[in-house]
Amino acid sequence: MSQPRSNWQSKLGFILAASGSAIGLGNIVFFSSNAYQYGGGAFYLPYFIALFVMGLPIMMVEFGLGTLTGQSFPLALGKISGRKGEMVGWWGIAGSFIITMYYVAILGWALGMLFGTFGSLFEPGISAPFTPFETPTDSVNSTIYFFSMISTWQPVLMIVIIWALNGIILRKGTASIERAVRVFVPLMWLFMIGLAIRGLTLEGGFDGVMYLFTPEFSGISDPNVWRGAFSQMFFSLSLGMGIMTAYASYLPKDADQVNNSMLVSFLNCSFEFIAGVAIFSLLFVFALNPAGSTLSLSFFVIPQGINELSTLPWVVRMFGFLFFLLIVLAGLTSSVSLVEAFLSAIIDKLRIKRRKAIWYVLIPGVIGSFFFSLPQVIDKGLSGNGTLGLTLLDLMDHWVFNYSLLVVGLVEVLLIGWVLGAEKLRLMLNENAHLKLGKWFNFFIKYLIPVLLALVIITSLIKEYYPNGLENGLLYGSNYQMPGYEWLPIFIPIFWLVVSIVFAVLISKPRKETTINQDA
Amino acid sequence: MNRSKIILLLLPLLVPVFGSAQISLSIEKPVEGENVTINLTKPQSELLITYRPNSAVVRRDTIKASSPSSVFVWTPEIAGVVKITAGSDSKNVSVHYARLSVRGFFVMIFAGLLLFGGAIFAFKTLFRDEEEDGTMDFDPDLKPDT
Repeated sequence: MSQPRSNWQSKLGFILAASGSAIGLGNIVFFSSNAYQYGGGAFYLPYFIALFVMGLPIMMVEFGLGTLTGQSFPLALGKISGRKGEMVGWWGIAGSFIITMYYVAILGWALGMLFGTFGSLFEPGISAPFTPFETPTDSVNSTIYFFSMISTWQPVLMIVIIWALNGIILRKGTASIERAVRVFVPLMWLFMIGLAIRGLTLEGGFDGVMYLFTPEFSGISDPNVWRGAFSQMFFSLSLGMGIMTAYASYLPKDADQVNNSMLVSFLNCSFEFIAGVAIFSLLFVFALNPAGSTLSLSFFVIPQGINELSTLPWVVRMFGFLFFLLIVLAGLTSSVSLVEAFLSAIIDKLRIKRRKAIWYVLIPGVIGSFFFSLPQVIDKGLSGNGTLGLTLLDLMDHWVFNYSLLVVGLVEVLLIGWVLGAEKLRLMLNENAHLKLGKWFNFFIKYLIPVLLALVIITSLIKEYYPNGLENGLLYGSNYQMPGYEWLPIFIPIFWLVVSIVFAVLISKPRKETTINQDA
Repeated sequence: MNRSKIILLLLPLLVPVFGSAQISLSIEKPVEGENVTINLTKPQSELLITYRPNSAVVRRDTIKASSPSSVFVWTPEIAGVVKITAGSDSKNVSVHYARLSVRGFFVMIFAGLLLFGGAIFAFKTLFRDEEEDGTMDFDPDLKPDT
C-alpha cells in the first residue's frame, strides 16, 4: 500500500528551504576565513571556477535525481543502479546523520552563547577549568566563556531544545518545513545585512571590505588554494548528503531544476558575499584576524569584535544576541534539511508514518549529540580540544566531513554519468529548463568532476598523513595530550567506518515493496 | 551547511590583540605609505612585521636598530591586518588604505554583479509563466506525508 508523497506548496517555499539548507554556520564565517588565508579577492578565481565547474552541475544532478525518481537519496541511487548504489546512498546518509548529531551539538553551544549574552558572556571575571584559563580575566573574553560553558552539562539541555525544534519543524513534512523557512530564512538575511551595515558604518569598516576584495595573487599557484575552493564549494552547497535529492523529490516532475540549481547556488554564494563584508569590516576595524575555523571564528573572534562595538553594554548584548540568533537560525534550517534527508529515506524504505519515523531519528540523534557535548575535561592544557565532547566532535568531523561527503559525491556522479547516463539526465533536465544545458554537461559529469573530486580526495589523504612532508606521517589528533584517551584518534575513524558500513549493508537489504511511489 | 573544522588555531592569535600593552603606536590608525612610530616598553634590537599573518600569502619584514631601542619608525607598505612582534610581545594592527583600492573595488563590483545578478536572473526565470498566486502545478490529492 503506497502512501502519497508530500509536495512543496510553492516554488518560493522550496527555494527558501533549499537555500536555507545550503546557508549554514560555515557560510557566515568560512568564506571569510578562506578569502583571508588565500589572498582576498584572488580567492574568487578558484571559488567561481569551483562554483561553475563543480557546484552547479552536481546540484543539478542531485535535484534531477530527486525529481527523476521521486525518491530519497539512497532509494534514488538504488533505482538507477541496484542494491550497490542504494548501499552507497545509505552510507552517505549515515555520514550526514553523524554530521547532524555534532552539528546539533554546535547549535546547542550557540544557543548557550545566545543565553550567555544576557548573562556573563560580555562581562570580565570569567575562568574555565583549563590550565591557560584558570585565573579569572580582568576583561571580556568569549574564548574562556565558551570553554567554561562546554565544561558544564548546560549544553546537554541545549541540544535537547535544538532536537525538539527540529522535531517540531519536521512533524508535518514539507508543510511545516515551509512554514518555518518562510520566517527563518528572511530573518537570516535581514540580520546578516544588518551586521554588514553596522560593520560598514564603523570608522574604517569600508577599508575592511576593500581588504576582503583586493586580490593578492601570489598564493593562487598553491594547490591547497584550489583544493580548498573545491571542497568548500562542495560543503557549502550541502552536496553529497542526500539533502537536495530529498527536497527535490517533493517537487513536481516539470520543475526547472537547472534554474533551481542556479538560484539556490547564487543565493548561497550571495549570502557568503554579504557575510564576508560583515565579518571583514568588523574584524578589520578591531585588528582581529579572520583566519580560523568555523567554531573559532563564531565563538571566539566575532564575539570579541562585537564586544568592541560599543561602550554601552546593552548595545553589545543586543548585537551579541542577534549574532547568535543568526547562527542558531542558519544552523537550524540546515539541521532540519540534514534530518529530513535521513527521515525521508527511512520513511521511503521502511514505509512507516512520518510521526513514527521522527522518533526513529530523534532518539539516536539526541544520544549522539549527547556524546558530542560531554563536558569531561580530558586535555587540561588545551593541546587539542579540552573536553571529551569537543574532542569526539573534532575527530569525527575530520573524518566524516572531509571524506564521506566527497566519496559519496564521487560515486554519485559516476553512477549518473556512467550507469544512468549523463545524456539521459541532461535531456530530462532540459525538458523543463528555460536555460538548456549543452553537451558540455555530459563531459563535466562523466570526466571532469570525477577527476576533480578524486584529486581532492587523494591530495587530502596525502596531506592528511603527511602534513609536513613524507618523513613526518601523523594520524589526525595523535598529538593531543589526552591521558587515558590516546586511543581516540585511531578508534574514531575505525568506529565510523564499521558502524556506517554495517548500517548501510543491513538497511539496504531488499524488502517487499521497497518503493512507495513508483510514479511520483 | 558547511564544514565546522575544530582547530583552536585562534587561541594563540588572540593573545597579540588582548595582551599587547608592551607595544604602542604613535597613531591609532596607521595608513599605508605613511610613517608611524612604534614605542616599546622593553628595548629591542629588531621588530618583526608580518603582513596578513596566518595566511598562505604571508609576508615578513624586519626593522633593525643599530643598538637596542624603544622607538622604531615603520612605514607600512601594504594595507591590511599586520602583526608586530617585538621579542616575546606582539600586537595586531590594521593598516588602512591611503586611497580607494581600485582592484578591490573592481573585484567587489564584479563578484557582486555576478552573484546577485545571477540570483535575480534565476528568480525572474522561476516566476516566469507563473500563475498569479505563485503556486506550483501540483496534484491537490498529494498531502504532506504525516
